Amino acid sequence: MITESMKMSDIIGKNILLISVLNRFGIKPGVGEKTLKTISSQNGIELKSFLAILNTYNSKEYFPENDDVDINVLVNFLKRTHVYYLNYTLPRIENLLRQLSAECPENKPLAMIEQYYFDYKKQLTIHIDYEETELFPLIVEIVKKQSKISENADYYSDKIQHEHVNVEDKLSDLKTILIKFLPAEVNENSANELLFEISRFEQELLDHARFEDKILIPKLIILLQTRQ
Amino acid sequence: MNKQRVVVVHSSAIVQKGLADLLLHTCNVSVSQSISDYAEAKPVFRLKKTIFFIASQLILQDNNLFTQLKHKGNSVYLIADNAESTNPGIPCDGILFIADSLAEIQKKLSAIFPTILKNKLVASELTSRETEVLKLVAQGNSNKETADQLSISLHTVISHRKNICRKLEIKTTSGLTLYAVINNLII
Repeated sequence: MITESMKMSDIIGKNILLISVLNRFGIKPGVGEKTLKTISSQNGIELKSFLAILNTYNSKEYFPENDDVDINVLVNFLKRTHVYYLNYTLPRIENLLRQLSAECPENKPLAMIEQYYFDYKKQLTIHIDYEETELFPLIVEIVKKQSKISENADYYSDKIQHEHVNVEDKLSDLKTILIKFLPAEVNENSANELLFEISRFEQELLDHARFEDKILIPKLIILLQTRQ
Repeated sequence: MNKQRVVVVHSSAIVQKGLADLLLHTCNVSVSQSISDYAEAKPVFRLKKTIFFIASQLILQDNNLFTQLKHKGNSVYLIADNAESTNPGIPCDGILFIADSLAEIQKKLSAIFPTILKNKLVASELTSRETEVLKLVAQGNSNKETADQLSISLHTVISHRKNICRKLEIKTTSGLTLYAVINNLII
């Protein structure tokens, strides 16, 4: 369990994967001896939400209470996560795939895997775009209590959860197929990097979906119900 | 995963967690319930057709318990500290000793859940029927269309699909299509 009095360097040292989460709050390594609380106040981050988000990423067993996370902080965090996916993770996976295809231009399976990836990327981008342009603004509006919505709460819950499962499963299939069919002649370091990157992304998406399905959407449903 | 109910009754948390972990990783069996307290376990002892792993002391303390459990068609395995803490007269289904090595315990557990382990090992090959279903699904046919073309029920197609997904570890239709194309199952 991560607490406010812990040193940031210890937190990162124990779970290096938290770096990319911290980046989304504007925190980079070079944290000196500062505690989480100090860093949080220096960066103007709301402490309770920050702790809840870090702990959720840090441990599968941890689950924040509904009131732990400020919805605006969470939406901002999720938006920055999307930017990270679109500007870093997806291009990186894409580059590695291109690199492998360039090494064996005659390999048909690899070309098909690349095409599968492009379809996947397109689907994920549409999903992210939907959340950014419709879902998040809607939530922010409802929180401000300015909205007039006619949709049933279940509509959002079903739509989002269904899409998350799909996005996760397709990525996991990509990994399985790469493991089974990567041609022997590719550079093993690039192949390993690609598999590591996909596995990490798979885990990220699961954590990301946990926030949306378990915190954001229930919150939306409660808000919608109280307004009906 | 197992459909059979597995209950562990032992006061030690280490034993409970350790056994649950071994069952999961050795036999893909999950424990339905772990109980540390004898009093708390009483309602559980009324269950039928359950596999029990019980601290041997409990059986020694309560003579009727063992008969009662066996009478209801349960399997009973004892967890004993050593040979002295069991009664050789009790016709239990097996004994796990705390001092057993990892290999010994795994051997015993695999013997208890042989079919589950076997299924897991031979799960990789698709049957010819499954391959036919895979081809049709990968060509974009719905479950209903696949069922019609093969003259089998929708229910059978769904069950084939489940097995295909499990064996290949591929969950989505687009993933199955890619798999089929790479394997030259469809053009």
